[in-house]
Amino acid sequence: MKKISVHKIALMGILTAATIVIAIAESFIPSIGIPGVKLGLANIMILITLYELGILEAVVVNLFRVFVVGLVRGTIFSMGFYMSLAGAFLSLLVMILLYLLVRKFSIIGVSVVGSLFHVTGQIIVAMFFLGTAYIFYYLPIIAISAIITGVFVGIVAKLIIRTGVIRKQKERYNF
Amino acid sequence: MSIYDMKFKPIIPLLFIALTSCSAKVSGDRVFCFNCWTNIKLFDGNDTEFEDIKNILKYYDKISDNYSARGTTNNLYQLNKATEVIEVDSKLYDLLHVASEPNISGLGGNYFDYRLGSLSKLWKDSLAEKKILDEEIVENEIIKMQNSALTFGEENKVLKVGQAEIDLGGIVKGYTLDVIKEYLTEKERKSYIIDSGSSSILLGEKQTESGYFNVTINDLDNSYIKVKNGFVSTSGTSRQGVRIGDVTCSHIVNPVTGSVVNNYDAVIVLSDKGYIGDVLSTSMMMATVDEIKDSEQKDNVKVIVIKDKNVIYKSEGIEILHY
Amino acid sequence: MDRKKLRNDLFLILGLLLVASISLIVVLSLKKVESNAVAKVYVQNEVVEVIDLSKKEDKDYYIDGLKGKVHIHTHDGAIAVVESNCPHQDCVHMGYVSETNHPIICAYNAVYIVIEGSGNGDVVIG
Repeated sequence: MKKISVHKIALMGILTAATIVIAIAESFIPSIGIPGVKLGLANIMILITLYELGILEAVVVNLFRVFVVGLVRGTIFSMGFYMSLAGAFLSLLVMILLYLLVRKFSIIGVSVVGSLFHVTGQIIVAMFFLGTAYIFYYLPIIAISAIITGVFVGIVAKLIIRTGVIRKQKERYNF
Repeated sequence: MSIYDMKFKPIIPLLFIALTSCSAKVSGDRVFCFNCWTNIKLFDGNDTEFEDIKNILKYYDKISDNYSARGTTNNLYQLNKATEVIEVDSKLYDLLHVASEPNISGLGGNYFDYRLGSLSKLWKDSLAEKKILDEEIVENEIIKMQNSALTFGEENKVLKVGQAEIDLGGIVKGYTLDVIKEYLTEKERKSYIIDSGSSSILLGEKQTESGYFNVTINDLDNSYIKVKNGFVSTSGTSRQGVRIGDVTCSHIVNPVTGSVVNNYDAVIVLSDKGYIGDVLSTSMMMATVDEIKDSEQKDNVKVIVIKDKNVIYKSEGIEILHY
Repeated sequence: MDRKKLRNDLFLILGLLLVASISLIVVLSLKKVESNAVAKVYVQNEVVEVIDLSKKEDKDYYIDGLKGKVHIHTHDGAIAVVESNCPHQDCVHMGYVSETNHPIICAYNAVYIVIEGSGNGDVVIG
């Protein structure tokens, strides 16, 4: 049984905490037209986890992010929560697929696609809760915002990875 | 390289913007008159014609206004205020002649009265407070009405005797549409829709093979009729009805009883004269189905009578279709 | 740092932006100011109120949403959500809307308002 390094867990803890803090901070920003559709800045940490630590690790951090934010903001098991859940995991799924199978894009491209699918997941769930397709009228403007945020998130993630902080941790503690 | 590819990409969204704005050049315009929006669609017209039609509408709106003088000395408001002979606008003179005809329609004067101005206003205020008007007030108003009349002189001079207020609301839309139709015929325009508040509509021919326009019936679910080259009028409760208790009261006052009517939800009249359509769409709201059938013959119109979202009578030759 | 991947990214992003922009233009062009507009207020996909905007009235409506009352106000042919107990107030921030195909959505209360024009026909009577 391969032992999971304590240091790895610690690192994941930091990344999880960071993503939760960002997610909570951005949940205070009002969104355009439809409630619950957020900027998606928390994806920075998810991306870093995916690229530097691995797929399973990214899934775990993502899970924590959705549940803890839901608990803290009091939206857990409400429509907003399910929107976040769907968005976060659809986005992660697509990012994983891109990262594994389609190796043509850099972290920025993956981030943009992830961001796009994040809002798509949120809107699809919102549509089920509201029972109407009218919500799709907002998709274009939200998509443009998601693409732009996606680029920003990708660049930040890339810069953080480039600083080598995490790589050095990995080398030092061998995980 | 990507930089060269980029040069062409911005053109495509710009092209789309240009194309959509081209198709956005709709053949339509609108003007606020007779207390509602009149939508003008000329499918084979030009800009001057839009202006001319708007001017016709604004003109009749001004002369038939019984709430304000609108800067004139000779409109309806001024006539209502006058205590002696006054010279009115010539078009108003003609309109008053038509409106005050005792047998203006096949239904007769018991169903349409141009002197309902003040009683209508009282009902409007009372219904706004969800109240029924007092019997006494109603009786007084009816007496006033019966003691009022118009005497027509030469050179557009009119004398109004009596205390009643003249209200042309139940005829002016259709009458103005008649004027517009004449104008359009003169200009040899065939394809148009002049829609006044969704209650009086003048239709030409659609630019398709059959030429029929689809007219959606608001008081029914998902239904429409095909109309061309004619007028469609209605006096329904759907937009102006007030719910008092179980009943939806319309804004239409019966000139004999003085109370508001609520027999039907709506009566839709298809006619080839605008003012008749307008007059009948109100008059028929107070009539029985037999009386309506009678008037159908006399006035050469077709009707649809609606109650509780059901058609309780429709003329032969009318087909109600569904989307 | 991989040039080729970055170039692919650029194409991807520009392509996605293009599609999104075109969709935006399409959605915006669907919005029209109709003169005989009717606002339909839905609660969980059922129509609870039909408001005739062509009358241009100044009127208040109180709709029972899923989690509380939503206060709607019409003014001069436009409609807006004025008050709502939703946490983000996105519906309130939307302001007054008078065009068709521009829905106001209060997801928290499952209330949404859509403005419709004449629909399938060429004109509406009534």
